[in-house]
Amino acid sequence: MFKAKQLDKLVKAGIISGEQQKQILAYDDGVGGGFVMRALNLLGIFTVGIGVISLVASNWELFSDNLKLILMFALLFGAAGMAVSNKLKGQDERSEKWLVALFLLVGAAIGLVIQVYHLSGNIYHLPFAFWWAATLPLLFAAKKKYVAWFWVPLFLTWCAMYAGGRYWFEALLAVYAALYAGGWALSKYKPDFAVGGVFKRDAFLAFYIVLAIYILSYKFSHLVISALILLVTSFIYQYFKEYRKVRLNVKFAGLWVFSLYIWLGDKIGLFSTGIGMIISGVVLLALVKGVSKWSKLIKKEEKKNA
Amino acid sequence: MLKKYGYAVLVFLPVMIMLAWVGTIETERNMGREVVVRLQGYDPRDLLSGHYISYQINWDETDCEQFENGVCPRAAFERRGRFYVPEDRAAALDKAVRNTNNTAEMVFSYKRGFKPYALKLLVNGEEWNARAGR
Repeated sequence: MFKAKQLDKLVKAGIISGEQQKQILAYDDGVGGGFVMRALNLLGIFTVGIGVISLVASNWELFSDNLKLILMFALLFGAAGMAVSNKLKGQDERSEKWLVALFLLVGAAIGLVIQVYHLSGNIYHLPFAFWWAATLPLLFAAKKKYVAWFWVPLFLTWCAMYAGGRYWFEALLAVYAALYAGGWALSKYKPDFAVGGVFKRDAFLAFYIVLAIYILSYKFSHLVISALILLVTSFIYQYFKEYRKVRLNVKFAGLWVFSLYIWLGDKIGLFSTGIGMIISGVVLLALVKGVSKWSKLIKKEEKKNA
Repeated sequence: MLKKYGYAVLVFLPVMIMLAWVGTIETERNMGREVVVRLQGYDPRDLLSGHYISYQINWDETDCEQFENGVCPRAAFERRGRFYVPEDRAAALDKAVRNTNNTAEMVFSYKRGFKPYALKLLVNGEEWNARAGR
């Protein structure tokens, strides 16, 4: 978040002390990465889960089906037993890690059962639904966020898979917004329940990923609805003094204008003439300037209210 | 103590759910009787493809006399399905199923009112692993 070089300049200018610089950098280490890093983290976690399923489902050829199932249950009982045994010994940290292992093993076990019994299931999201539903009790057993870090992305991805075949964008945005609100309420009123904070963070991220895709689909109806979403959410963020989120909306407003520009360009043939190209270039430059200016204005307001 | 029991129940619940699922499948599979259905292959497009063959049931060439009242229960079977095989043999077997000169059949465990379960894949009347050994 803070660049070391910028902090050096502040120290030299006498605005902050060397000690404060160290404190800021130490704070930075404790704070998670940015938007993109979090998205990559979620993608990584989900890929690991999928990888475990496919690996177990496709490469266990050496054993008979019955032996595979026996081994699978031995692993499941073993992981659950280790979680409970560590908990009884007061080794909470280890117990939490065994819960994560159990979560992943259940996913792999679902893949294995599908393979052994040749379950076709043309509803492709069903195994994922079974996975999150079967592992739901683990969320209530866990005291730390580890299981939630895996479970929540799985659930959010399943929501996207489920909506993908039916109502898609609008419903998905509404679901993610509701999950964010639920996560926010949980983290505020039930702070001991670790999943609240993770839901709040991941549903927010998922909402904006879907919103970006929605805006960039260059449909007039999408442009209208996304403009309303950006306006309404900006007012809500402003009301709660969540200025970082207002700034994020400003960036998305930039994306929205870009999408409108492509849509209009396509409709009125803006890219097919020299004058059209000049106008397009000017609009793009104004867009970049506008977003950064607007962002600065929000920052000013933030400082005023601080 | 109650808290500890509660924790153990929550942790073992997913394992019990898996056990119940497998138990249900086993029971339903054992309740049915074997029926043979003709297949035709089609191009699979799936997230985890590569280690199974995708088939489509060919009711026109299936012997319906083996079913109740001599009527094929088309609605009870999914029109398309998958049969899982080791990855290194999937391509060859898929080709064999889609080859119109071969007769591909699937042996299902079927009982009216229950989901049919695929048991064996037959190519020209022989079980698939017998063919793969050649």
